Amino acid sequence: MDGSETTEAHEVPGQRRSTPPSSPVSGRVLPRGVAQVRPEAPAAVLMVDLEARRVLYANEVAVQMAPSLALPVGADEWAAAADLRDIDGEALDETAHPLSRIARFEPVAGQGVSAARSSDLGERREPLWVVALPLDDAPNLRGHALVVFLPVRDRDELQERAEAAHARTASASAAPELQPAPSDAVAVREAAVLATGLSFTVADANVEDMPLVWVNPAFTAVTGYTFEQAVGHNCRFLQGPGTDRATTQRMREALDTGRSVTETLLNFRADGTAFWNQVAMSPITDADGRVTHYVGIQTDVSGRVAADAERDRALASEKAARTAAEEAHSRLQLLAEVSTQLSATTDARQACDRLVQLLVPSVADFAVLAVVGDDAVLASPESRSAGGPVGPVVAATAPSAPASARLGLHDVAWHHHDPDLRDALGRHAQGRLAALTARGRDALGLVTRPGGSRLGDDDAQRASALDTAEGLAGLMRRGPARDALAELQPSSMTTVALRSRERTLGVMTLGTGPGRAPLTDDDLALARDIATRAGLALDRARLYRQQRDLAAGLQRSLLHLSPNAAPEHVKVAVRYVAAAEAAQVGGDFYDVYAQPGGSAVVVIGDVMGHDTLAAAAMAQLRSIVRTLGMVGDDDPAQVLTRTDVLMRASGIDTPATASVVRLPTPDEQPDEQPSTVLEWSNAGHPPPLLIGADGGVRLLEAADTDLLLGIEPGTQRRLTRSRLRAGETLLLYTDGLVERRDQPLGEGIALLREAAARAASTTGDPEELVDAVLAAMLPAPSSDDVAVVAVVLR
Amino acid sequence: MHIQLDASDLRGWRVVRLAGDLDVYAAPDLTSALTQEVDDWAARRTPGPDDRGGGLVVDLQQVPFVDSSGLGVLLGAYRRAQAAGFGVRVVSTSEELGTTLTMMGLTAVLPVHPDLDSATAPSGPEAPPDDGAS
Repeated sequence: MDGSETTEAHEVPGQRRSTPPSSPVSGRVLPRGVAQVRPEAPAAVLMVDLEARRVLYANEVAVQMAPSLALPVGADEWAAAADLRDIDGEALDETAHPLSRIARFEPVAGQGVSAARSSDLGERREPLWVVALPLDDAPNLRGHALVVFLPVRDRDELQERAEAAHARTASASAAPELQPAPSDAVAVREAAVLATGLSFTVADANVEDMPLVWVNPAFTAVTGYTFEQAVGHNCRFLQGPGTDRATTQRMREALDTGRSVTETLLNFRADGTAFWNQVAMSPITDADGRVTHYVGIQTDVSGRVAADAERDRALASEKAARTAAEEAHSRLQLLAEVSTQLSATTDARQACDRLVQLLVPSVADFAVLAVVGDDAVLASPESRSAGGPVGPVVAATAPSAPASARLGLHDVAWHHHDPDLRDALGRHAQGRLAALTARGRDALGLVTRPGGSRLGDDDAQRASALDTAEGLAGLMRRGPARDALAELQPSSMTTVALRSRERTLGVMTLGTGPGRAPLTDDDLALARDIATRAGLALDRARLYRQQRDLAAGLQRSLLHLSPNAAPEHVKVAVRYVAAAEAAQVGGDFYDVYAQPGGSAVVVIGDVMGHDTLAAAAMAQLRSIVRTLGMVGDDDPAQVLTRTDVLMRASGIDTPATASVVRLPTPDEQPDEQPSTVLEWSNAGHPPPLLIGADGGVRLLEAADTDLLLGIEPGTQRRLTRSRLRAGETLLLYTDGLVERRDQPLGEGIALLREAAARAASTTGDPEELVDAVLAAMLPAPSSDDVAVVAVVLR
Repeated sequence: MHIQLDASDLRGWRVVRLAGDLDVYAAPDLTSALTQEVDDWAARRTPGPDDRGGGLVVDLQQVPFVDSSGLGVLLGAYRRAQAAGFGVRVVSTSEELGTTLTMMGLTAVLPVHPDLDSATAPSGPEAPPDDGAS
């Protein structure tokens, strides 16, 4: 009996991943203990509880080895029933017995044993290669081990073959490979695997999608996936383009029905290389016959398959499929990127800059973008042919104007892949539109083609138009722009219109240089797709700009206070700080006016929302409050109550907060500083401040604030009175001054009180005071509009 | 940064749970979602004898931030619900939200409850609808 050292398999260097694998024996006489596994023959698999030394689960082959036993059963009892002996049929002693070794937590990398095999022809001993693998890494299988019995070739037969091969190699100095007899060729190729380096996997059959719970180091060596990467996933991650779906389907069906299955399929290593993997999946069942796990034994049989061209073909098609897929993917990504980038900005100029950066070098070597100014629009061919109104195609301005202006087009962005050629591209772009001939304009697709026309393709008109300087001459007049284009040595160019809602908003020119293949039809299709998206984005930016300008203009005109708005007895300072984000127009407003009785009225308000609708509602609301307040001498509570009713009646249903403060003319008291009694009413607006010259700050607050406007027209509104003395400042503001995402309203108001007190201690002038308060409260650009009004008695 | 909405029936109330910031970015989507909820609820609710229970509860316990646009959305829901004859309650323990609602005079319009249990109680501390309102 051999010691354990000599029964271990001798690992042949490079064996596990050799491609194509040489014969396991490598022309040498087979070392003792090395066996050759027959991968086509089913393996017996046991799951053993090491602590209890019990066999818990077995697959059907293992059950056949010890048919009389019911699981779970003691490991020794199982070994006795299977009549395990050494490879030569001698009894195994305690120390060498694989199950004993496993029970001592010794991994058994490979050991030859034999088992009694009953058949109709009588009993014989079957050589087996036993591998035991502690499953300590697997989360739910700690303290368990996998014991796998692999059928091996008869030692004698192997020895004979090895010797024969050795002799042949020595005499013919052929490649050191096992050269089987022709009749034996298939069998030997089938068997080209050593027991060592077999990769094992265990999958949990009780978990959805049957994830791997354990793989051995050989699995990592063969596939390149680490334990951590593999475990938790169904082993189909090894599949890829080129994996035969019929094969995987057969495997799935077998697994679904709890059968064992052996298939050979094209798998992919972590590094993307392909290999033929023979996978034997064997269900492990418990005492009730319930499948608990699947044990997979994977063998890289690429050598076997790779002997012929089949793999090469598969690899080639796989590679082509992969390349095509990657290309398609990158194109989709590019399109998605174009949409994302362009929709992220409402600044057309910025959008164009981003677009040319995206186009180069992914689509072309250089790109030039021209857009139509807001004041002129290119007519679409459709509208011309339909006899519709014709836009200013070429004669929008006086003939003396530069041609580019006549086109209404301006080149706004360009980029070249090669930094050395960017200057030349710039010179070309800046002059090209002015230098276009009629044919050049036509070639740019400005008039005839909405979809884009390619220069340098087979089109009769444009065949090799740019191959020579003469070709260029037809498109552009002689000059710096044409010279610059010649410097770029374009091998192909295309120009595509950027269109939206039937209008051309610009043109996008793409070109390739001498170092790159001319644009293909695919490139052209991609360019059109991008142009469509870019056109929509440009249109959106333009609409947005118009809307924004409209709203901003509305706001400006409304917030303008006429010089004589404020009565004599008050001095007023107003500020309006627009939000840093250009995307929003606030509904903040203020107003100051005089009532017939001479009182000054100060109004501040905020319409909810940040769009043109809010701006429009603000305009209406402001004029309602002003009209109601100016026609008579109603107090602020009456004004707000009627405003609410009028809002409902006018269909203004945007909620708004507002605070109205009336400052009657000061009492005539010769021996005292002037003072007045403020009358105010607050509809849900942040409380105004009364700032004393001594730094004392009070809030104009009532016990309960009345409901904001636009909710319940019947709301009863309160009028409250507070005294305002000379030297005191009344400060009204909107919530943008005090409320921010990281600063709750209450906290902001507390900060404002402090800031106001500090400001009042340095100045009594309302203009200086509001600036000081704004500087303290808004150190950074605000995300919301802010309106502030400061009032003092003169 | 999207707000998530999850709605279910609870003790005769329609409970809409929101998760995420209720701000100017969430407002457009949420406006239509809440409008839908109010309309659906108006069509299938069974008002109690005194017509006090069975409204809409907007659970803001998973909403860390509400800006004025967000409040606008809640007010829009309130007005729509009011027109259909039921109220809107808010579940929140946020001091900030309480401050804002108080300052805007909204505590009677959008009563705030500390938890779902009290918000769906048959007679919570909700002011009855003001009959003179419309």
